[in-house]
Amino acid sequence: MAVTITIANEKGGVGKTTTAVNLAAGLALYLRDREGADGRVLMVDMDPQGHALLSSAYGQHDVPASESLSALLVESPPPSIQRMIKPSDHHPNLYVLPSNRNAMVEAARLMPTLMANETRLTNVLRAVQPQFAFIVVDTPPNTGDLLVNALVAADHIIIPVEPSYLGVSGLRELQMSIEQVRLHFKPELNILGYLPTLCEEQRIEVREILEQLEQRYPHQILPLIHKASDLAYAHSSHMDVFTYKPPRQRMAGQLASSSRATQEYALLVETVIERTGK
Amino acid sequence: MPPSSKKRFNAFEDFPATDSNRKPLQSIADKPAMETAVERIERLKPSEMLPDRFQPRRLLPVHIRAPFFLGEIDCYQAASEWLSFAQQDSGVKEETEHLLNLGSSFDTHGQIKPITGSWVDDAKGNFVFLIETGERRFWAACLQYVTQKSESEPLLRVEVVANPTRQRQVIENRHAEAPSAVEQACEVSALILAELQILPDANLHDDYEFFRQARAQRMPAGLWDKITPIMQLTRPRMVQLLNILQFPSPLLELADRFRLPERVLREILGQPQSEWETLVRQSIQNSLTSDDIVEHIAAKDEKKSTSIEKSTRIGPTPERNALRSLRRFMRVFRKIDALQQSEILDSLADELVINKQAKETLQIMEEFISLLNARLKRR
Repeated sequence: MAVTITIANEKGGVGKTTTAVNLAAGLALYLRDREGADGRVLMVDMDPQGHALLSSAYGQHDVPASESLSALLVESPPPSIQRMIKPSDHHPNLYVLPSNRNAMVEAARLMPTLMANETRLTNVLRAVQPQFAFIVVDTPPNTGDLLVNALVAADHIIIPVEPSYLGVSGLRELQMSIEQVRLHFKPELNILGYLPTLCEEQRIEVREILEQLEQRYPHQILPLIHKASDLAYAHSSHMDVFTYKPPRQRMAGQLASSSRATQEYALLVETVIERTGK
Repeated sequence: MPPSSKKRFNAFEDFPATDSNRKPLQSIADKPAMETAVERIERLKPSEMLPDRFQPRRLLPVHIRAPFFLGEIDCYQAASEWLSFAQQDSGVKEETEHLLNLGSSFDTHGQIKPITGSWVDDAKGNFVFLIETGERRFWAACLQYVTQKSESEPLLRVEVVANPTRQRQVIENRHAEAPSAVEQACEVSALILAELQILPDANLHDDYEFFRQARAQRMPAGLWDKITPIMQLTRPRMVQLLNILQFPSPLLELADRFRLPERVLREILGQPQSEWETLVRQSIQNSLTSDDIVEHIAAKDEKKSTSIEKSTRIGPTPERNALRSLRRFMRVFRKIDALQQSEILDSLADELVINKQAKETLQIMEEFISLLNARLKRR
């Protein structure tokens, strides 16, 4: 059965989409030699902005509403998820669930009026859980049914945190949302880790905040992701960073290249594999 | 480096004093997976679907089945080859015409019943809709698409079923169209194997080998009672049908294609295996009934016993051929009423005149009639 990892933070611009895209691509690369479901990764973009799909399946990022994630969330009963899942552009074992931007905005507006509006994503993903090793879910930067659905569907949560005053300020609200999900839906929901992103360690504030994070959440701080132009340029090239900066010769099991961004995300992938027991 | 005179606030000042990772709360009752009680009809293209290779009712000709199920050709290429083959084979042509009629009815009346099935993943990780019931509708749409050379693929109504079963498949087959004897044999076999939870092996080259397994199984108590309501046949009858699967697969294909009755096949099975193919082909060519087969075999046995005495004779003489043909002619007429006899004779007369064989036939028949009359008078 797939391990579902949701990338969440109610603050925008902290690197959720970057993390979702590169984690999904990194997992796909790591698992590419495994047969069948053990080697497949699915990415789901719950953010109406749809930025995750720009980097992984550019041609699929604005399919008709009836063939997209929004139909799965708002229609009762939902259509078959199986016919919507498409392969990504750069990795044969990475699949995406396309979304339609306008339809997702509409879905976010409609969902509070629907029955069982918190568990819709869980229910549609259930049909394909046996077909994947990992499902990575990107989320919008606000509290709402789209985020709640992603939290309820998750087995683990990765929380990207920009180590700045404003970056940390959004953590408390997210933690309260997670507590509510644990209380009402999923007591076993696990915070896999806090991922410091956009790190610039030459700033004292950053170092101080990182120390405090380590004190507050011991053994839950994931390897740092530094601010890097490779990450931004990969997005604008409609690629993940592993595809944007590949090694000269990719050996078996090798993810990273000379680019620090690839090395840091490769380490994140290995950490996720280790902590999820896959 | 920030100016030291400015006050800086702690980013964590709103957080509680201890904020370590709490233990999960007591779990509330586990919610069972929500079962969808509402049916959902969707529309899929034939290229998103795949027929069940081990469905008891076999539609595709054998030489097209193998490349299709191996993925070497798609459904439209298979349909195209099927239509080409139908030009050479009357049995296949009849089937394709039925399907084309069904396909054209979709254009006129729409598709009335949805195709049912479930989503499965193929070896490459892509999802495909495996058809449980409605394969005829699938092929009807494919044949129609190929015939009309449409630009866009047709969209077929489908219903996703959570738990497809062999039993539903057989019931649907039997309601849709009367199955041939071979199909019935496969249906009985498929039901037995489903009850015994024996699944088909995708690596089998010969699909009929899957169905033949049923003959070798030990039937647990109560199994026939489960199958009887579905097949609506007695147990001895079902056993007779299962016996048909003794034929080699090429003969099963022929018997299925030309819908040879079970009784004919049963009589043929009673003969040495070396004669099966000849008898099957003769049955197809001459539309023989089971009685015809029996008589044919009896005549053959009689011929064998006399040929021991006349061992120099190698093959049938013109006399014997003529006698056999005359007997067959008379057998046809004995079975029909006087009115039909008159109609047939009228039609034959027309045929002979058109083909300019009437005079010659008349001469021979007149001589034969006079010889017969002479012998009858002597009695």
